[in-house]
Amino acid sequence: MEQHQKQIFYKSAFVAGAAFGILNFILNVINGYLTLGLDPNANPIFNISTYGPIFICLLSLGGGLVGIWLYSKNCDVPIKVGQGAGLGALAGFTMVVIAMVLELIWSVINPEFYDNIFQHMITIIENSDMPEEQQQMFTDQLYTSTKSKFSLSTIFFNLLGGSFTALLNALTGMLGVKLYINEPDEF
Amino acid sequence: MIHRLFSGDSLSDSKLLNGLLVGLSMVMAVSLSPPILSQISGNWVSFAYLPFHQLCHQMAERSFAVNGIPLAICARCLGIFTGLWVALVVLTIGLPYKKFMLLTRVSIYLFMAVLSVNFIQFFIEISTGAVSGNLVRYILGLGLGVHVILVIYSRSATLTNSYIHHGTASKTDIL
Repeated sequence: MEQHQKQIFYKSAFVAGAAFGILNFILNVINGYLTLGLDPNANPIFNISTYGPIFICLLSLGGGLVGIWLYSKNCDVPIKVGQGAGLGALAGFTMVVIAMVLELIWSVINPEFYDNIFQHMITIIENSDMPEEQQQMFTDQLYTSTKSKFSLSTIFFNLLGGSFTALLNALTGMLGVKLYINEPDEF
Repeated sequence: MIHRLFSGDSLSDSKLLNGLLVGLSMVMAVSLSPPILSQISGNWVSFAYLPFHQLCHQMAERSFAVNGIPLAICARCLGIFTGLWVALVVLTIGLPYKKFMLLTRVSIYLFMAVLSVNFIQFFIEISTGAVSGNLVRYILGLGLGVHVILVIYSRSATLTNSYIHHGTASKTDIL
């Protein structure tokens, strides 16, 4: 790969990853505030804040696709499907790392945010019909995801999630090559 | 046929695809692990959910559960991962190529159709409050996963060459 092509390749991956990571973080914060406004006694199925995470998870797959689109706009040299997978994986991993760093910074700037979400979700769980054992399990899960953000185990499992996101963005990157790059491909 | 998965002389002829298969297998294993981990330790269960919180909403009522313990991902995501995995396995070990390859000619249209059905089903749910079962979401996700792989493999020059090399079809059959 030529130097110019390499630069565009990596730039596309990092720009797409950064953009989606920031967007992911912002939507998570908005969804958090919407959740705090939710009546703890209401059925969450029919509340719009319940569906925020669904859009957020769709966003998590877009890094690879958008990265390839950015590459196709800035460089005429076609890339192979395998290279598209690499670009997608890099974009996906960048997205997760940036979202994680922003969440850590936010938890320092606004420590009450995650505490309030934790308390609010605990209230919803306690008001539900779940068996006690399941309530305890969800409480542990919530604690891990909201209050113990700085623990090494949480960071490790978040990075593991980053590798899963990278894998799926590799697939969307491959899909992007089929959609946006106009050459017969080879692996 | 299983030995062809990592032999390098299978249809994929690509370490990337084998790597994707191994990676997807890990994703499936971790996503299915909470009911098993709950028997060992409650702490491990909460860690099993963490890797997927960026990828999936993980709503318990939209996830399959074993012994009351929801899996780490929702039914639709599980269907997508299953579809991806099954399609990659089929292509890698070289099961009915001809019929499978016929689908790749119209793969992009099938993919758009399956994606549209998924979105329509989702918007019907949120606008009317009607709740489809997890099985419906799983099947829709399965279709989506399979068709992503079909689109990726569609019109692939390497695929065509491998067909001719392995003698499973004549050139006129493909083109």
